[in-house]
Amino acid sequence: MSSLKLKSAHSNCENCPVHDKLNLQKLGVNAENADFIVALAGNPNTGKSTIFNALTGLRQHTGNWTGKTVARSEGSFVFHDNKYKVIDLPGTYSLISSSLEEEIARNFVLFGKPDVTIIVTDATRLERNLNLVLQMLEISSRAIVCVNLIDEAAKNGIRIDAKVLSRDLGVPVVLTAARDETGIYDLLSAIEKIAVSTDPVKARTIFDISEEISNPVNELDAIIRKEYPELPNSKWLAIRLLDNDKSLIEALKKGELGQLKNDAKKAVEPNILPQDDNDILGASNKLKGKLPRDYHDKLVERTYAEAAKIAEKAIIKSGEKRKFNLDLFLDKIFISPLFGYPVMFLLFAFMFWLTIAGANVPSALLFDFLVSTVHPFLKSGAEYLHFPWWLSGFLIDGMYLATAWVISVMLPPMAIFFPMFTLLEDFGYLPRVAFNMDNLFKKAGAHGKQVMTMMMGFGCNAAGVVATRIIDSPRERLIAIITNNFAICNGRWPTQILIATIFIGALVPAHLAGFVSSMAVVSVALLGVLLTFIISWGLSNTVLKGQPSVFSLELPPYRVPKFWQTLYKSIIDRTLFVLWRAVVFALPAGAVIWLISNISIGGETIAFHMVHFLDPFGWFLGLNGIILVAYIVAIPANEIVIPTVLMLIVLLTGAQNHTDSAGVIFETDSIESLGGLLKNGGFTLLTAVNLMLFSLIHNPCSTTIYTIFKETKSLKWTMVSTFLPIVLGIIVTATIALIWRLNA
Amino acid sequence: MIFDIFKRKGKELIEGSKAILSELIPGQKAFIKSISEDCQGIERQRLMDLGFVPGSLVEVEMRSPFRDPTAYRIKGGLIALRKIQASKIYISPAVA
Ligand SMILES: Nc1nc2c(ncn2[C@@H]2O[C@H](COP(=O)(O)OP(=O)(O)OP(=O)(O)O)[C@@H](O)[C@H]2O)c(=O)[nH]1
Ligand SMILES: [Mg+2]
Repeated sequence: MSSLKLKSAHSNCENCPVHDKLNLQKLGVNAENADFIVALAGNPNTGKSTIFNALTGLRQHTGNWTGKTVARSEGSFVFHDNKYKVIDLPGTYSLISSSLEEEIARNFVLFGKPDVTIIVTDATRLERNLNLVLQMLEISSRAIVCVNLIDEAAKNGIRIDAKVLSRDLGVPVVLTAARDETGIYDLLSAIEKIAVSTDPVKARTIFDISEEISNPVNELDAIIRKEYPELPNSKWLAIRLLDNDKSLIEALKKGELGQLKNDAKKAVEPNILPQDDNDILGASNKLKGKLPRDYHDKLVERTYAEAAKIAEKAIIKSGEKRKFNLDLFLDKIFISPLFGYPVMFLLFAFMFWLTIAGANVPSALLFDFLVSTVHPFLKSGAEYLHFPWWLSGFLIDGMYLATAWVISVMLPPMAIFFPMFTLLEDFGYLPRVAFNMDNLFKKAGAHGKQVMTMMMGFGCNAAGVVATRIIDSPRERLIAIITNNFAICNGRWPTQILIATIFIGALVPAHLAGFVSSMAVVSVALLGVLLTFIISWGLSNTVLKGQPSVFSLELPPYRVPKFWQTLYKSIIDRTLFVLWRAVVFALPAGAVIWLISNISIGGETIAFHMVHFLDPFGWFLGLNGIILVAYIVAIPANEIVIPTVLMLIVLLTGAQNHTDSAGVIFETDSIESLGGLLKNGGFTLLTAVNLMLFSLIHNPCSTTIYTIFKETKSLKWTMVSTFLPIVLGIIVTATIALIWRLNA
Repeated sequence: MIFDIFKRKGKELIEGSKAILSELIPGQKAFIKSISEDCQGIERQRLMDLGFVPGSLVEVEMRSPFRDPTAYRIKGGLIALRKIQASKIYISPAVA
């Protein structure tokens, strides 16, 4: 937590008088006892999370695609002795919610009663953004319109006149370029002014509606006002109820309407409420009949017409546009029928190759240090301190060693892959991949945005499952959740890389080894993509039948990432975060492995019994008992599969080669000798191939399973997501083993 | 050139003179006239949220390698729609 950290000298000091900047304390997530609540709302991809980070000093994930934030997150800061709690909301296109993350945002603004709502807009798409702004202002006047991305607008020859805009909207307008923290100080002052003001909440007058519409609206408005005189936005409510707004009607039925009031404390006893609210609902149902059929469209068009009028006055087109349009040029390449797919393939293949080739040396160094140097040192230390053998075994050969393994196999590839992926994400390439691939997803009966959740899955499947919230249709969302497991997560990359390097790379001359093993990993990843299509297709033609639903995807402008900032953030947030999770699981796993390898029943260790019990089935799958035991131990986290395999081999078979006593360690010092170790454990090329396949096709880790349950709230679909891949994995590996042996 | 398609398609379409958005090719512009009646609920709302409302100027910017979906420039944003949706949006010619 970066609490109390103050930004020191900064390049944008013109905008932030130093003495006042010092009045800002970024408090991170410490949001207890806040004086004021500030909500960040607005269209997707306008920079809400970037502003959130600038205010709180937190590092909420940002990314150049719509729908990066799917759940709300909180943080806080202190400014001039007042403590503010900030809520970063998912982006929404309108208040008429049609997807889960939009509902989260809208309900917070409606029922969460923030003291200040910052409506973040994109200066380059002001007109469409104003559509949402106007809707928001119809609910509450305690708002600030933040026109962000003014740096990008300036590059396109657009300037925004904040004064004119503020006059037309009736609320303060602040211009910012949040990524450089330009205008953040102005924003703070504006927040403060609204927060401390005691003006009651007003709602923007809703005008320009034809009589045909305004009569029923006014009639219902009068009824609502009779029941709730203090309600500031009764007319808005009337309009929405007449428009058949499901979640508002729901809220009304539950008696939550009292919460919409200025002052929550005055809320009437809930027992009386439903009756009154039923009156309102009844009246609304009756009045609906009087409305014209295109009532809804009329409302939307009215808001747009007003937005267009306001935008026209506020936008100053200055000078010429850039002559060379980079976006168009890049899209010509990335989207082109000729180059689109090859470029996509080469880009990802290059990323994998760089990860594999680049991870080799640091992995060996880490291994050398943690396993070959520190481990013996710890052992002799324990001996010196007269630790009993079981204690030093349990702690050092079990817990420490498993952790050391995990760090040396995981850290280097992640530290290379994550920053590259984050750069690509910030650049704006991911939505283009979705655009390119949508056709295939459509044919599989799935949603094009599934490709984005899949790519999040390449980082972490649990994150990928949460990201499916960007898919509106429940059917297609479920397909995306079930198939997310076929995106190889970072916990599985090390298995792929290590096995490919040792067994596949060894098949070719040394100078080709790096390339060939990369291609092997890429092939497995592509097989995962293929399986995603096949399973999606299968699901949407059987249990999840249905029409392909609405697909709309906003393609953001390309944005040159801030290189060092991105690098830093992705190392700290993603790499170390994921590594930490792996370590947390590795410690107990190491303990378990040591215990099962050292506790004997009937003269043989538990691990021995397990391995021998599973060996026949493992053989049938072209694997072995050790691998299956490793997968059982690794249910909480895939990242410990390889360390478990290695430790089990050492503990069960490798002891004579490397050490003197059972249950103790080996002194391998490079990837090559790891290969020797695995071969000692009975690994063949078939084992290697099937291990790579099995690593792709098996049950999700327990965290992902739990996340699936939370997201679907269905035991049935959680079970399907868990067992479908494992059954498929068994079928695939068994088939390959059979064919392999028949041909051998 | 832009008028050609209106002439050609105009006769074939059931809805009389109504030309549809999915018929435009990259580079062409038009005004949104209306959204078809069979597009209702969330789908209709989402299209309108994204700026597909009567009177908006729309330009076809690019097609995906498999020719579907297509990306449209509308109200400053670049929005990709599948053909099936774009075919539910009626347009009128924009005078270039
Ligand atoms: N050039 C420039 N880029 C910005 C600015 N603010 C944000 N960005 C970039 O715009 C992209 C979107 O920013 P986010 O903060 O993730 O946007 P968001 O509104 O939280 O998006 P959702 O969570 O999807 O609704 C990121 O790539 C940011 O780095 C800015 O003022 N100038
Ligand atoms: Mg966000």
